[in-house]
Amino acid sequence: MEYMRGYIDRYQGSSKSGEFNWLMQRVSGVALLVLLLGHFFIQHFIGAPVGGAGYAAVAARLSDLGWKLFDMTFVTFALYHGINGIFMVIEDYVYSGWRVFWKGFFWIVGVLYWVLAALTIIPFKG
Amino acid sequence: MNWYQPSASYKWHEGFVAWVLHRVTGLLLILYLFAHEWVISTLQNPQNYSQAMGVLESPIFKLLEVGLWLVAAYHAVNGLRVVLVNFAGAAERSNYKTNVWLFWVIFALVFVAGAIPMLMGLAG
Repeated sequence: MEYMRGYIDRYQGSSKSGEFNWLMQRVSGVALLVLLLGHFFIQHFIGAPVGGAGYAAVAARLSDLGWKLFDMTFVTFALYHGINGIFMVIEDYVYSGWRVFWKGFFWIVGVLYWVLAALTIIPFKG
Repeated sequence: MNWYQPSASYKWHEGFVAWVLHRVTGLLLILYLFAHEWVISTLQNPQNYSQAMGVLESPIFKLLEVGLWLVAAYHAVNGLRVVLVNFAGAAERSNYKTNVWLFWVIFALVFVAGAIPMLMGLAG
């Protein structure tokens, strides 16, 4: 795959320096810190359903538009941050043309998981 | 051990340890996210939901949940330290070690604050 080395630079496009993704990793990380604390303390402690997490209580929350917006924001930032982190690992260890393959692979995985999240969260009625 | 001769050797410096743990916990979290999303997408009706919750509320999964909180709390608090290192000069020669120890204290407090109610749920 070494012959593909030229493509690595070509397909990095404007993010060749990695500067934008580096900055966005910090921005999305801080956003996730706020979202995670919200998710964790509101859902598990402050707003924990009385009598445990039965289907009715959980379904009622997941049907709420506000929580749908919260969850879509949360999963979008989490997937971006996670996949971007995997890209950083790939860039650290994969130097051959396999880099193009693995980055493409995780691009597809990320998009598919985002679609799965949207299909799970948005149409949910209970 | 002379069969293994690394081309570079690493000093187990506080920052290096923090970095390795940050990378490992990050990879564990993205794997968790993939599994978590997959499970939730299959729980769209009361039967599947209660079946899955029967498994997920067993003591072993409750303990794994505390492990998840450990991993997530580490990654979150250390990530904040990384941001402060990058943008607020938290890794100067004069303050570096203090900040690493401060990080461990804050991480421990955050982890314990979350873990106590989880373990109480496990006992109760």
